[in-house]
Amino acid sequence: MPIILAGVSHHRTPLEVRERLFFAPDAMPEWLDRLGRYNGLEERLILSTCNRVEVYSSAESFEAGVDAIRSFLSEAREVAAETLRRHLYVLRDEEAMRHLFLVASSLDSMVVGEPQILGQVKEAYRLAQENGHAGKNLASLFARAFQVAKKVRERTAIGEAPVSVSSAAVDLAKKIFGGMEGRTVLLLGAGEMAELAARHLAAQGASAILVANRTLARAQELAQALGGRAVDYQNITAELAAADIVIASTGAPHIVLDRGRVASALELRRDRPMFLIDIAVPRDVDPGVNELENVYLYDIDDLQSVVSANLKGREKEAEQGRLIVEEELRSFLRRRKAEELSRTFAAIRVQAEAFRERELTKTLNRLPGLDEKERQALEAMTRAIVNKLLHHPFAHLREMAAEQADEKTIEFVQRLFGLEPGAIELPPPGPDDEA
Amino acid sequence: MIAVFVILYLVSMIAHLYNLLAEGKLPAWVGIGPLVAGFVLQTVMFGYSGLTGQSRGLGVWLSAAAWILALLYLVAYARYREMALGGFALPAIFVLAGYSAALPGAWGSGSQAMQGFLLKSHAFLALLSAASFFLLFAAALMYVAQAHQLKSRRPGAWLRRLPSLDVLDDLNHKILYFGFAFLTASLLLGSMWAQSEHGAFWSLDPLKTLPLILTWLGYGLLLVCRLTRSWKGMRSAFFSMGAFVAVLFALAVHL
Repeated sequence: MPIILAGVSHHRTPLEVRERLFFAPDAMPEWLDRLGRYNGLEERLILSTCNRVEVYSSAESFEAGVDAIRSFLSEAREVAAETLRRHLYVLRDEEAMRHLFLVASSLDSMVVGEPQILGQVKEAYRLAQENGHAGKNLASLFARAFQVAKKVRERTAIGEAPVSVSSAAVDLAKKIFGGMEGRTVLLLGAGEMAELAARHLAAQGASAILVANRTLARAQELAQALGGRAVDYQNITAELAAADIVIASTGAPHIVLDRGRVASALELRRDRPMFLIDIAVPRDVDPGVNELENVYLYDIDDLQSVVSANLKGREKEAEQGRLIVEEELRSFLRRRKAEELSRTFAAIRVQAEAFRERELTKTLNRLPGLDEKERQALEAMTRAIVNKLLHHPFAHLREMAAEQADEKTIEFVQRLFGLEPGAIELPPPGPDDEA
Repeated sequence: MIAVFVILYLVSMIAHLYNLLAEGKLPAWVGIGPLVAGFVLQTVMFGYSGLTGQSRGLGVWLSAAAWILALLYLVAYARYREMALGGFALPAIFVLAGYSAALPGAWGSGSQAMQGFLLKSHAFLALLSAASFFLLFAAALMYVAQAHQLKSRRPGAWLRRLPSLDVLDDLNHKILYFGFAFLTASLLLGSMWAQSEHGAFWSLDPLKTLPLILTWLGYGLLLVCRLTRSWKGMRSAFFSMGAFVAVLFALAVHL
């Protein structure tokens, strides 16, 4: 039964198309039900995030399944068929699985390695599963995808280095101060990015947040929002000495913190280090301050370069991650083929047994004079014939499966024995099945 | 036997001073346990020697002073549950008990076995302190490397590999404390041994003693500055690296 993936993502589809295809998570059960009313899809799941909308499905027939998804998307979201044709990518089986593994491992994300996507995939699966839309095909596929994602995260450093300016600043602060507990943060100016960084630091446990701004009202407002305290902008000498981390983002056209001011604050701090983050343009802090001992000064360019170095690092880790995905994909496919093969064996055996019994009954009816011993001998003989006939093909197939048997081989075998390809629905092989 | 409680007092002293000077957070039993054990042992020995009338001389008076101090501190601890006092009491207890072993009069002092014990523990603690100072050197080097990474504003891969400056500085402080405590204890035991071997606490061979004094003064100064002048960071790191030269000298002349 083919696995189908049809979707759009940030790689090739602009936001105005993605947002039209977006499915809100709280209405997901209804959307899945609606998708379920289209014929041809056995199982279905919708993954809908800001960066991608993808429908995963298993279907009797690939073409019919794709048609169903296309119709659903264009009717449910009122998107022209032409637009869909231009943007929708459709992947099947191996390609679809690889794509899911890459997505779940955050290797297909806009910011490679970002941690949210795995949670979003898990949530999408949960919604599909709880509402009865995901059966055993999607279950085994997604379970494996979650494993792969975990492996990629554990074996590579893909999510470690921060890739936004404010989180890079927080990361550097941690490399200087260890934990943020008991640290004092001073905001000079009340810019948005300063606020974001301060929020990060507060979340990490920074104990005091001081806000100094030219307009006191704005300082008080921001201080309240951050659970901090507004201080006098004109007179921050004491606060500067108390501050472990200073985030400067004033709109002043000139230097606000010169070397002398920082040096005298350091005097009071003894040897405790100080981290100055200058995200203002033009700069607020005299660049010469970095030459002072125990001071670490980063301006916006420095932070940006840290971020781009980290992004480059992630790209390198992503290479490693893709190798893991390939490896996992191969092992998943191998397992699937082995399962498919053993289901085929079981079906062939059931069929052969049915033939044997039918023919045996016919023969026995025609020979009423046989005693119990002779009947048993006939029974044994028919069994032996069936077993001998099947022995070689089975042995050979099993050997092939271990090496290179692909879907086509299995399909060919199914046809050879008169089984409907892809339609084998049997209980899993029992303990006494040869397969 | 005397060796056993001297060692117990030493362990208790190091634990107490660690909590006091290095702002460590060892559980109380690490300091109090060995102290109680040593105290019980010393009490038993006093009782025994009192009954047999073996004890006389300066050594026994020093030992008795140690015993009384230990008793007073234990009573105070039982009442107030405060280990800070022990940071002052235990060095005195250890020194008094240790020297009593080197002086004539107390049980078994001046004997061959006692001398062997003093010499061995002296050497063992000396090596322990040298190893600590090597670790201190490594931690300081890591601090300087990490500070350099951060200062460069274009940090490389080492930024992630090395711990934070705060952790490295704390490591510096704790190792410094232990190294210094081991070195001090080793010097004391060495002089106890010298007393029982040569009859003098200190032999003045400048070649042998000077590097030791320099090492002790160097790390002692650093510890004092860290405690009283809150030296931290780069200054402390550079100082620890410089003082390690004295350790190398001391090792070179003693090995």
